[in-house]
Amino acid sequence: MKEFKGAYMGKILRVDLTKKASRTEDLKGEDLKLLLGGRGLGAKIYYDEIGPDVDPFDERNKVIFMTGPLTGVRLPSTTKFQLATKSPETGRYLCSNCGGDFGPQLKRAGYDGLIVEGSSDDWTSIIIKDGDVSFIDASSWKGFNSDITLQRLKDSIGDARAGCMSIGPAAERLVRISFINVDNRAFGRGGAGGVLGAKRLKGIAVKGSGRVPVADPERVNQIWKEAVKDLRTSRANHTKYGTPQYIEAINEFGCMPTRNFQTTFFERIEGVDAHTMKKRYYVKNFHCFNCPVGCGMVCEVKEGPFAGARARTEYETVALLGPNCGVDDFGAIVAGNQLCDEMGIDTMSGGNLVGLTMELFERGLITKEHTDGIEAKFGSGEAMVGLLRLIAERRGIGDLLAEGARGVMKKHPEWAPYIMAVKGLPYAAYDPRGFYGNALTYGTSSRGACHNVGGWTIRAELQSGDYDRWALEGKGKLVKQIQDNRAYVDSLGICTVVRGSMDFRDHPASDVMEAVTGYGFTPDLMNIGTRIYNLERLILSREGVKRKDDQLPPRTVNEKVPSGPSKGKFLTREMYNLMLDEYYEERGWDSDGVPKEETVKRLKLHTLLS
Amino acid sequence: MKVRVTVKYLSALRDRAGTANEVFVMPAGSVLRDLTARIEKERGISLPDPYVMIVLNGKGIRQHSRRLDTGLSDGDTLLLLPPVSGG
Repeated sequence: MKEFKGAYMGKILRVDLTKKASRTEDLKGEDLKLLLGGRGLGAKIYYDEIGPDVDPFDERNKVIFMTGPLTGVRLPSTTKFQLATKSPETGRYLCSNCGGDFGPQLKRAGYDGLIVEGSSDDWTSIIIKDGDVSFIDASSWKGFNSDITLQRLKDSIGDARAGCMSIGPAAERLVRISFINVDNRAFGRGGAGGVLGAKRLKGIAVKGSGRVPVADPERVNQIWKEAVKDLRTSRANHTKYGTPQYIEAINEFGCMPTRNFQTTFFERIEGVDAHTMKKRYYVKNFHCFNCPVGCGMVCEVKEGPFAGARARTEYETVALLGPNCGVDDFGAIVAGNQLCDEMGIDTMSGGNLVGLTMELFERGLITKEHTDGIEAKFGSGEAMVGLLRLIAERRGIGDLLAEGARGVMKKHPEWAPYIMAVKGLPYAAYDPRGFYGNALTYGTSSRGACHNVGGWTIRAELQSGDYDRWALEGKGKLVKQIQDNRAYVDSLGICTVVRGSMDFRDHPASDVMEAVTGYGFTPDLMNIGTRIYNLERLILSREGVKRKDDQLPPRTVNEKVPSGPSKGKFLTREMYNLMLDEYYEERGWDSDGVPKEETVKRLKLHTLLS
Repeated sequence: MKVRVTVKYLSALRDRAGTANEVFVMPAGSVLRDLTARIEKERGISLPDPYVMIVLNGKGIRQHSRRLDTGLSDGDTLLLLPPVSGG
């Protein structure tokens, strides 16, 4: 570790719930040079320690929390840390990214990462105060919602500034779309909350008294000032409207998921757009650690059937609980969002599964007998909220939906035409028929149909002027590039919203990494991202993923868009596979999507994993 | 012969324009640059601006490119919005 003069604490904390014991391990400098930390190092530990035969709810599954070199450093939004585990939702590798105070506090306590393994006989929570690790009896917390549990954790550690994470009742019931609430941000996708539920771990609190060292404090302070100044202008719209600012735009682009992705344009968008949010529901901004932007929009319903509901709404949640369920009432979305947060389920998978249920209901494939009496029609806010509750409580059809898209598909393969998921993870809130690159994003993401890990192409496909969004050529190269950029950014420990202010682009030229770590990472950052993405693909290959698993659901490759700005646009399986061929070629993978030996060697993965 | 172009101001651009959308009636033969000049004059949104994105009939337009010389047709739709970024 002597090559680094800052950023890393040099240790990982390993907690064994079975033995109620903990120990620390030293980080290896060579691993960090090749993988940075965060998502990269999390993937390596997953590769080394979680085999393909381990079931997500098996006590042999582990939850690996890993910060990045920038986590906790005094730079904008150095809030992020990563999770790696076997996903209950997909049954495969899961990486997830989250803000809040937990990551920075973990580093201040002296650790770059935390690995939770084994399982407890009784409900417990972990308390970490610098070098002291203890376990508290959480049996009386069973059934508490995730917000109340966060408060109990803060009370237990005795410091309101502690970083805390919790699960809600859904995870206790092993609902496979359960999230982990982290200081009111979330490890949302993939159902990691269920892994903690299976381990009978209700929450973790951490508080550190140390500081994260940096190599050149004076230069870091200068970078902080410059970045904050830039963000005041470049992210002013995030401060004003948060991510819901994109609701109108995505609809006008013709890629808004509408009524379970049946079309890509929602006719009543004004009911759920950012102006409606700001005018009628906005309460205040929510800021993560060290963030001058504050893109979180805390909203409250002041009147009507959902009066009193309060939640922090994001674009993906609004789109998937709103238009994807045909709902044009922002108040209902806030109520659905709050229910998901409290019960502890992912709003994105939740919105997809509710949209699916509404389509099945309207097609007569299920009835009120299945839905506990709910008239599950598109457009009903009450039905949307009611169905989310059925999932969280595993009641009626909710018990099946709680098994996630993969579980639904297994029991009802005849419903495949209506299930919008890749590798078991439901779609994010963009219909690929509006942007063909987004089809590859969903198909080749390391964790299923995710817009972040898979590479968000909309900016490049529309704004750059370099691409035709409805063309096939060039999309393989584009998606690879965006994925690799995201892989290294996810390993740094900063939020993607602020990365531009510190030049973490495809060809970074700033000295941020050198000022923080004292090591010359910058020229190699994109290559590190490529290495991480290939490492993840090696894991997936070991778990059985091949070309057939990179395919899209029938609706995306069989049906023309029936309305809106993308009316008449379509993809076929053949068109998609042309893009996939180009992507595999760019990646150096064979025709079945497996990294070639020369690719593995070029990226030095053979030495890293031996 | 005149051409009618619908202009939509999205997100924060609606605040700057003071309206959600409007129709501009342009002389035949007008190009996109003529329309953006009118928008600047009537709505105070001057281009090029790195914090404004323009999309003509679903396709993004680089503000320094020759595509500002694209001819306008009756029924065209122009979107003005802040640049998009995801994740």
